[in-house]
Amino acid sequence: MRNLSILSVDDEKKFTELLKQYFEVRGYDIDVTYDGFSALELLTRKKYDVVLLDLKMAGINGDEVMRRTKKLYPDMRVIFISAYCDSGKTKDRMLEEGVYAYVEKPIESLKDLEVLVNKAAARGGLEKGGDNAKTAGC
Amino acid sequence: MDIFRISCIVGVICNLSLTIFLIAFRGKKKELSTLLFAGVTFSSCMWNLGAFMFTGFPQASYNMAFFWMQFAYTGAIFTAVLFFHFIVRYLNLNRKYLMVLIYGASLVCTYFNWYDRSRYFLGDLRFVSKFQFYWLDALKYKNPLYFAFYVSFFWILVGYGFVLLIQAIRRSTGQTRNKLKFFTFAVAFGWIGANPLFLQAFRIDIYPYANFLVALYPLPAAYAIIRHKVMDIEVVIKKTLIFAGVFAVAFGVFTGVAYLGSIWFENVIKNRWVALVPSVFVIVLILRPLEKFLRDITDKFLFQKQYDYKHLIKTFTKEVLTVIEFNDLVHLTVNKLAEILKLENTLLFLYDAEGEQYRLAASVLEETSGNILTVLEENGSLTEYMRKSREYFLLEGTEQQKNPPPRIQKELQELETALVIPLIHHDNMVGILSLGKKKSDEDFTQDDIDVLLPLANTLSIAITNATLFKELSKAQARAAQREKMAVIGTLSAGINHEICNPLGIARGQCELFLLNMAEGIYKGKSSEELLDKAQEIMRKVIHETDRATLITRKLSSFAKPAKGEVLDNISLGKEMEVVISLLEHDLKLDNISIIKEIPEKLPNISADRKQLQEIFFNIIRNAVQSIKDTGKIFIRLSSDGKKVYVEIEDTGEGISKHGLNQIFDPFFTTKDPGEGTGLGLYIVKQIVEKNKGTITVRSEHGKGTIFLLTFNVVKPIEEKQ
Repeated sequence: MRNLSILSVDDEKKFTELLKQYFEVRGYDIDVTYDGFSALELLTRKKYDVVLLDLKMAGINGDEVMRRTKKLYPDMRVIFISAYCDSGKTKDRMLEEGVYAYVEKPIESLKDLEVLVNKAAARGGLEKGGDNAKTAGC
Repeated sequence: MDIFRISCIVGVICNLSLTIFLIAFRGKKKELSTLLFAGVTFSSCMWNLGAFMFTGFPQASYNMAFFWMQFAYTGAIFTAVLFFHFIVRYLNLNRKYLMVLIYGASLVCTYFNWYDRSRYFLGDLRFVSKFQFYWLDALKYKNPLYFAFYVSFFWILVGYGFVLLIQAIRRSTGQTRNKLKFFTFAVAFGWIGANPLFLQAFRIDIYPYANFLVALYPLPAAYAIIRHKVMDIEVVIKKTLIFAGVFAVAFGVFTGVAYLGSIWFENVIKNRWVALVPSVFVIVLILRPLEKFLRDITDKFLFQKQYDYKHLIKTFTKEVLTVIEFNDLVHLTVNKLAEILKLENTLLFLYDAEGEQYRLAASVLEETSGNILTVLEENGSLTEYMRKSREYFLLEGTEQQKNPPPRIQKELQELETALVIPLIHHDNMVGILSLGKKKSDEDFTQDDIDVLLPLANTLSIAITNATLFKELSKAQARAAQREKMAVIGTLSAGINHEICNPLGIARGQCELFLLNMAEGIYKGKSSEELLDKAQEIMRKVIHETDRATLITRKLSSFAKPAKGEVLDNISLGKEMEVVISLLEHDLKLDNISIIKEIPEKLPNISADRKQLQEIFFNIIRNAVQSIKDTGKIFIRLSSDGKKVYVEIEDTGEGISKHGLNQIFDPFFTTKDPGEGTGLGLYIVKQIVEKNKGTITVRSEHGKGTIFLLTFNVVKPIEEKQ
């Protein structure tokens, strides 16, 4: 069974670094990138099981990346991880647009994030599954 | 000359002057009573003239003395008759038949006075050796008409006249009462003097000094007439009086100087006409100051009221009504009224919309029982009535119908008021002004009211303005608070990002280490390697927490409310950098680049640091919001040594011409509902002006906007320090 592939996009380099450290040692294929353009570039070359996206980024914003990705791979799972906080308005809008989950920074637990990623991947058609995922609050 | 004869001359002058005065200055109504009183003074003048003449003849000139005696008594007869008629007329009494009877009797008396030297009226004269002049001898023939005249006219008519007057005084209130009191006093003066003049006719030879009273009573009478407007007299006499005074003094001085001068010049240069030169010179010198002096004197003594009014109006228009601060205005109003009108108490009630009542806003209580009302209910009978009638109440009453209905008398008494004036602005009764009694115990006159009513109107406007100003200040404070909240809203999005990220990373690093340990991922690593790992993580955590701390520091230095305004020597460049650093992250995310042109050395300005940051923040935030996709914001600072210029230009949407005119108006906004309160630039302008700067804006729709701010440079001397 091949490893789950994850793409983490965040302009906060240290955050992607953290995710990379966590997921790599646990047997995931994780790619990281720091802005919307390079994320789209990577996505056109490769389909990931789960994309972890920051919302507010220079250049192309997370929601734009998400929309283009959905055109390429309508069934791809996108999880937003963002510090953008407007009392849930953006969160609701994103969920409506078909985002799998919206996690607010700071994330409460890496473990929970892993669970969420697995769950998302399982829904994406792969056998690997997780239990109830918990999205963190603001 | 005899003292008696001097009194007669004085009597002629005084009575004749008053007569002329009364006739000349009769008011527009041409009241008969005024004319009748002029008749009284004229008759009195006749008596004095006659008396002056008949006392001037030696014993040999019996006939001449008799003629002037007849003349004098003609005056005497009509003095009484006209006086009585005057009272009847003045008090609006109906005594028609009595009047016919009296005039009939007086004609009979006059007839027998002149017809012959009858024994009916005058009878005979006797030369009073003690006085060295003739006087009437009433006892020689026991002249019946003279007795009738004496007894009935002087004791009954005049006495009855006074009874009528006193009754009228008792009945009347307020102003009328005052008038009558003074007037009665004045004429009683004359009549008391007249009575002893009969004694000599009955051979009781007391020297007739009493005639001085007859001679002088026109003075108090004239005073009462002018001061208390007893008669319908137009007060145009002020100028006349001043003119007369100036003329008299100038003439006196001129003659004096000319006379003395003529003697001196006669002796020195043998030409007395040269004396005219210094006389004219002296007159020219004293004329202006003299006129001013006399005007002040007449104003002060005769027209004391008007003098006070001038003071009152001057004080009010200059000192009181210009005050915009609410509390100062109401207290000044009350204090000045009490001070100038010399009132026992003064109360000012103002409408309080919340309590639906009129509350005591300010008061001066000098003489009071102590239980003054402090609240007048909106639907209380007094307020209700005043609001409807819009009339003032004069508690002591006047001749007009200004007496309050009995149901509110009680409330008025509790206010210990003498005059209540509603303060009405447009259709609202904004307040009630209650004036207590005057300390002098005099009542409010029509003149008082004529001055106080317009004053109250102006006061209503001033109070309304002050109230609005107070509310506006409150609204402005609220708006500023709202705007601050909006600023915090904008900031918090960025700040949240800036704080949440480092916190998330720090937490994640720790969690990662622990999880790796727990899950055995670090199995096989030496303890040294683990220690290195832990140290690396801790460094990262410290770095991230420092980052978070830094941003909170920036925020607190920005949002901390300033305690009042603190003027500082401020470097605009430094403050601008602080603001930019707060917004930088947002700007980057929004694809907006900031291009700064901030020279290193700029003269300092004097301003409030917080307020300055607020200005920059608001303008840059507006610029950011006006840029839809990507854009640039140019920030240029420069100085010409006198001023520092700040230019903030964006490549956003720009503002339409129409919008440009309103851009600094409160609540003007082009933003979607919920995005902006429309107060930002309004407050910015106010703050800029508070810090003695200017702000202008240029904009082209679709191309961008430039804000140009200028601030004065701190004086070079201070800069050196």
